[in-house]
Amino acid sequence: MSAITGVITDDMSPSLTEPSRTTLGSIVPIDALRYVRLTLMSIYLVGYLWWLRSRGLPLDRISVAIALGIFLLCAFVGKPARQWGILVIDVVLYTLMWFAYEMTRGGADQIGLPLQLDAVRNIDRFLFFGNDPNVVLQDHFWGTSVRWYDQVASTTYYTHFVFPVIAMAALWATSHRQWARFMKRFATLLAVACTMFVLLPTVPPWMAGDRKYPYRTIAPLRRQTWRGFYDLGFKGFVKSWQDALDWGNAVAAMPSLHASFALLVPAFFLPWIKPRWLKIVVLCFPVLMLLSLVYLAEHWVIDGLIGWAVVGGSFLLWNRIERRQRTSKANRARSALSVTR
Amino acid sequence: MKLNPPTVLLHHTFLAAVSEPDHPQHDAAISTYLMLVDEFETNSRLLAATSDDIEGIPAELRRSLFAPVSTLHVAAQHRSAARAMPEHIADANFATTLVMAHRERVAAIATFDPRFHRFDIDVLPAVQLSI
Repeated sequence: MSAITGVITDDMSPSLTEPSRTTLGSIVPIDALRYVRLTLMSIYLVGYLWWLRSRGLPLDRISVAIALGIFLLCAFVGKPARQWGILVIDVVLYTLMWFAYEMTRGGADQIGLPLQLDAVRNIDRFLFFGNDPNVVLQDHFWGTSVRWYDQVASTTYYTHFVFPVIAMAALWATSHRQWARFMKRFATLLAVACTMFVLLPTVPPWMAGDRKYPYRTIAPLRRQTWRGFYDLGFKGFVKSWQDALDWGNAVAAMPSLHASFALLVPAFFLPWIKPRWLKIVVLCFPVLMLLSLVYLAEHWVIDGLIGWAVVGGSFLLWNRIERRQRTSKANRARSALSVTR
Repeated sequence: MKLNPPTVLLHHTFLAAVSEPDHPQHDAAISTYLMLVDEFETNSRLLAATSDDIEGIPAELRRSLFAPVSTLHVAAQHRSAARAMPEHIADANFATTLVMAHRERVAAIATFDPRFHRFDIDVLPAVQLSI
């Protein structure tokens, strides 16, 4: 028998004089199914990228559901039944969230509230000293041939349909706690956005300048969001998006979900990004997205700024709620301890 | 990249020492537990216990004293892995705790069971022990 003495150090790590310690990995049997999951998810990723390039992004709800379902099957193979039960509840809530979003967004323009046009145009003009930023950007940069910045703007625009889904899927597969945190913020953003789509249907700049519509409040703008991405070879992707436009609500523009998602995803992961320069690079992405949206005539600048504000509000709200929940639990523990002592 | 703060697994020996005022290790346990609760509040630690261990605690205490403690549910596959462990780890609860610690990637175990010191995992609180 040998005596081992330990002390509590400042960082709570035991300082021990000890014999060699056994690694847990050497005695706990390997979870072979974990490697099966990793392999399946890798195959899925390769297949998804191939599909994305050759056949287009699955945009309709049935295709998205199937794509997500296959991914979740890969990510949850061999996990305990309880985790499958939680997954089913998550999927039901997730589906309800999108269903509510689609119903509200699709029906927002049926209610008949007055369309916002002059106000948003005037705010943009106020912000840019009397200029229409969409018109200025297209006048300076739009050409008959596709330039590198057309490809950048178009690619940035289309990341909207991929990045949030990747973030959700990655969190779903790795940490349910973080997935739930992400989804609370995401669902809050969608709820606020849908409410605003109903209350403030807004004519987007491409429509405001299009001579096919009666508004004609700014100079005509080109709406060829697809052309940079098409030029890069993503022809199937572009076709899917063009089809999707047919069932979209054109006046669901305030706030811009493109700008919102482009901030929400980097903002969520920001605490884990350590180098300061990388944080700055990551935060340039929402700025690039807003610049692209304005250049491509999809949104007014104020649509994007309001979108960012909603994201900020969602983070403030949930950060506060989560902090209060932790404090409440900690205080309950302390109170109970004071009784037992 | 670790998405969650490090998790401390509270072993049943620690839970008992915290909840029972007459326990010989009660003072050491609550001293450590209060520090862990402070760290939980600042989101720098997560506290967890296996379902086997926490389910032995009265529900009222789980909602109050152990409110910050989340449950790591022991599934059939964890028990199966525990049964497949080397024979010298005879205690089923001990083996299951090691499996959960490894599979759930816990950073430390709060326990008064000295056997955990044999493994490469931080043990809280540090205690006088014999092997």
